[in-house]
Amino acid sequence: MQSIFIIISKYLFVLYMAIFLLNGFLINLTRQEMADFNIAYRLSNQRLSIYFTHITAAIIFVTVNLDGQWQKVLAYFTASLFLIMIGDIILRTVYKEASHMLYNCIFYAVDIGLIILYRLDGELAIKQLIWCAVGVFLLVVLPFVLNVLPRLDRLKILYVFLSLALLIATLIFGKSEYGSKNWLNVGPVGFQPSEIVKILYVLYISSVLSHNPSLKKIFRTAIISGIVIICLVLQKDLGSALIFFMTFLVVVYIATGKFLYLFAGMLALPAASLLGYTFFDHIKVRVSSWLDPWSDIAGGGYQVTQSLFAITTYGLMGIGLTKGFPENIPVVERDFIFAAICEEMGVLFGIGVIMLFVLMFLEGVRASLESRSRFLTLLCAGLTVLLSFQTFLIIGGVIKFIPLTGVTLPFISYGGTSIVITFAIMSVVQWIFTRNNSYTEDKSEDETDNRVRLNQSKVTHKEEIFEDTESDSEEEMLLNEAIPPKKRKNKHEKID
Amino acid sequence: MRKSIRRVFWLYTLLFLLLIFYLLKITLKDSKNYILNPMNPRLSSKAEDIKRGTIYDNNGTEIAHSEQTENGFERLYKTEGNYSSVIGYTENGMSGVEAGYNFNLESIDAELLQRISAIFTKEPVKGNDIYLTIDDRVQCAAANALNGAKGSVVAMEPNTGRILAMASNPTFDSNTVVEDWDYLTQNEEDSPLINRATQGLYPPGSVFKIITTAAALSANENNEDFEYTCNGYEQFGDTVMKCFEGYAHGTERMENAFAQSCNTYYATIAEHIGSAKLMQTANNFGFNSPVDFPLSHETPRFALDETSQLNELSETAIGQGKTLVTPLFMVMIASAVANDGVMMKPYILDRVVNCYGIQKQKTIPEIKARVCTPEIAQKINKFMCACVSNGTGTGADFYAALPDNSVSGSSVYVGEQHITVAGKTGTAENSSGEDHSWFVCFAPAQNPKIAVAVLLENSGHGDSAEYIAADVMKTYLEIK
Repeated sequence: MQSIFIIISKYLFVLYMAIFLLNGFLINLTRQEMADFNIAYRLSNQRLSIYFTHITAAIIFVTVNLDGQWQKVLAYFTASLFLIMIGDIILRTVYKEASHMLYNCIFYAVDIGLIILYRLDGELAIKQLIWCAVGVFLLVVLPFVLNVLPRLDRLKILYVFLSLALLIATLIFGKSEYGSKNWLNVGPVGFQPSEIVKILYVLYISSVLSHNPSLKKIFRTAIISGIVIICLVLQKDLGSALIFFMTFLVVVYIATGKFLYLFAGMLALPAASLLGYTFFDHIKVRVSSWLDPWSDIAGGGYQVTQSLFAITTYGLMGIGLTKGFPENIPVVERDFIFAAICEEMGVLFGIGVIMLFVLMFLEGVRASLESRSRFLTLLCAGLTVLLSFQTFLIIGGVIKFIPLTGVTLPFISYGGTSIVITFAIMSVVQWIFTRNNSYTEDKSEDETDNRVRLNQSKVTHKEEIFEDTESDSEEEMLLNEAIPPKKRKNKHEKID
Repeated sequence: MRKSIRRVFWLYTLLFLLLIFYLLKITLKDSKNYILNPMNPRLSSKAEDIKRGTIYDNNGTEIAHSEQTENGFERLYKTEGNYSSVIGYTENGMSGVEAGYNFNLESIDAELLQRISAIFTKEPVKGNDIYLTIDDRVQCAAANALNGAKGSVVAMEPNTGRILAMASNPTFDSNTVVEDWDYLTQNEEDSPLINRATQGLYPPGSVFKIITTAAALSANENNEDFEYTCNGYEQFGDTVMKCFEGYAHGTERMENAFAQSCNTYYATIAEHIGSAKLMQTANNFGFNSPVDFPLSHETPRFALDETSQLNELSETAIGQGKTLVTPLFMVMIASAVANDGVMMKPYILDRVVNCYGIQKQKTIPEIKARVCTPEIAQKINKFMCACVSNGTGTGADFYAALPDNSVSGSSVYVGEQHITVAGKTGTAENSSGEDHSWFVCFAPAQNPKIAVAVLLENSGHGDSAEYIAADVMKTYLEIK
């Protein structure tokens, strides 16, 4: 009976995922026409998908009973379901203006992570659950904190100082984990500073580039980015270095609208890679094990080939939870967790996970598009790009689409710092959503003078306001910022 | 700014779409090429609660099947036919076909349907069955001809690469592997667990002259007419090379030298073409590269390069020296000659059939390499015929009772028909005892249907290998 249920569960998981994604993309495509109750209905469909996924997995684990203690399994799955449900209810009540679909995406990803981690290592999963609780707490609290903080775009020096301090401290006092010296112990607490630097760095570049991104400013950010990236390369944390590099390029491109910068950066990338390839042996190993892992299957190609075996042996539907052999993949709880998902829940479900991330990032893009402040637009776009590139890097590496760089799969891979920081990034995105929407409300109440309205509202931030139509060029946009509010009203009407 | 954001978003969506396409590509297309890699730990997994698939020969004769007992399943094997080395075992680890095709035998097709019907019928869930390319009649003929002698027989269909028979002695009994385990693992002299056909490495002896001939002819086609007078011995570098028992073959050309297996002739011609050419031809034939066969096997070795000394070159040219081959590789070489220089990839799995009798997979013959031109292959074919008709391999000459074609395919036997056999003998010097004897051949020479390689350990310079090969070929040609 239990075997039959596991086989059926493979199809159920894909079905739940399909329902979740269908509702998500439907909301996004028809947001304008869709009535509120309709959106609410679709969001509740998504929530049901999450709960059903969770319960289906729980039934499998309780009946298969890997550790021989079904009570423990039940406790774990009850606690995690409780976290997801209660966390969601609190967040939806407190932040009516935030994107509830983004909450759903986050919780679905977290839940998939908690399920597959429990399959791989029960103890790690319990730790991960605790980190997720911390993360959910951040989701609740961080927007409040951000609201009372002084203007975030004025703290450039602080961001640079903290980032460099963290990175240099890691270079000096850091400990090695999986070949990268990217771990720092402060007293009893160990963490990955590069994760924290992610937020600080995006805050820095978006605050510098938000006001009139001149060549001089770009140059300044380029130097800081260079230092950060070199620190990461010295720590052998190539994945993070690449992530920062791409984030920098994209943020500069968004801030200036000049494709040239992106293009020049893209040209610099192969040059830098070639340099890295010549001077660092571990890069050479990574690249050669990407080009032909099969010739050194027991050595350099071991990780990637084991991952490919896991992903492809059981085909599109997978073998079923608890039936596979993911323990043979090295670092499966962290870098290679996507391979374990594909092996047991199927490649189709794995594709669903990729789409889930696309949906998640689509929400981030929406937040940045709806934002009326250049700083918040850049911040939100930067954070979204950072996370999506990280996702692309690790999934691409695990399936051998690109050379492997060890970074975590957001919300799914095991790792305390990574989980907490990913939650923090999403808290910022959700905070930007609430800011956008409260602004929209202000506007609808009284359109006479946006700027005055905003200043009077209880929000303490005073970011520069800009308007931006579908087709406006950069000059026009800069012009907009110079035009007094009275005149800009006309433009505004044109958009809405 | 918003335009740029939208562009970046589309760029990233494109990247993720590429990921999805690539993931689908590796799963649906590329995976076939690598999931059967022995490093994949999933291949060796065995489930306790399912009935392992049955192994059949090509015509449906049961070779291995599972039966349900009170405590799990018992695996039963056909005893006659010297199958154990090739089929292997599933207890105390796995080997042979049982290991190579474990994944197919343990794969459950339509698992949901089987599991649900199992609740009602109480029949166990069953893995897929496999049909081998081996023909039980040929296999039994090989086993009987070998008659317990130490050595190995491999038969192959030259134009497809299908393995028709594979026997190895000393062997074991798959049915009693657990009981005999201590004896089997401790008997170092006989190493009965080794499948000599694929894992036994032996010097090729004079059979290697096939390669040297190909090298000489590809260096210059007129080398066929190269004349040399054999005095029974000759100095090469600092060693003296002797023909068999110092026999002087006199003045001869290549065909005669090949048929009589003249060592000094071949050492001389190797000196003319040089070690680079010989090495290139050997590599073309597949030396030093993986054989790509699903059962455990060894890679044929050839240790010669541009810097080799003359004595090394001359020894290698006649199959002594450091060259090592397996019987499987030897039958591949004979097949390549028979097949106009096209070496087929050897295979032993014909098809996979699920528990409802539906064919799931069928092996399609694949070309492994073009080892020489058709002209050279035909010349070697001619030399090999001469070797059997009036050279060292006359023991393989035989008459077979063939169905007369004039009676339109009915099996009326009209007397015995002489079959032209092409073959090459070999004697591999063995430092630790009596020499090994080789015979590789194919028949009928003009339209080859079967190629056979026979190796007899420590049998000296007899012609028993030729009789064994003749028996196997005769059996196959009569049933064809």
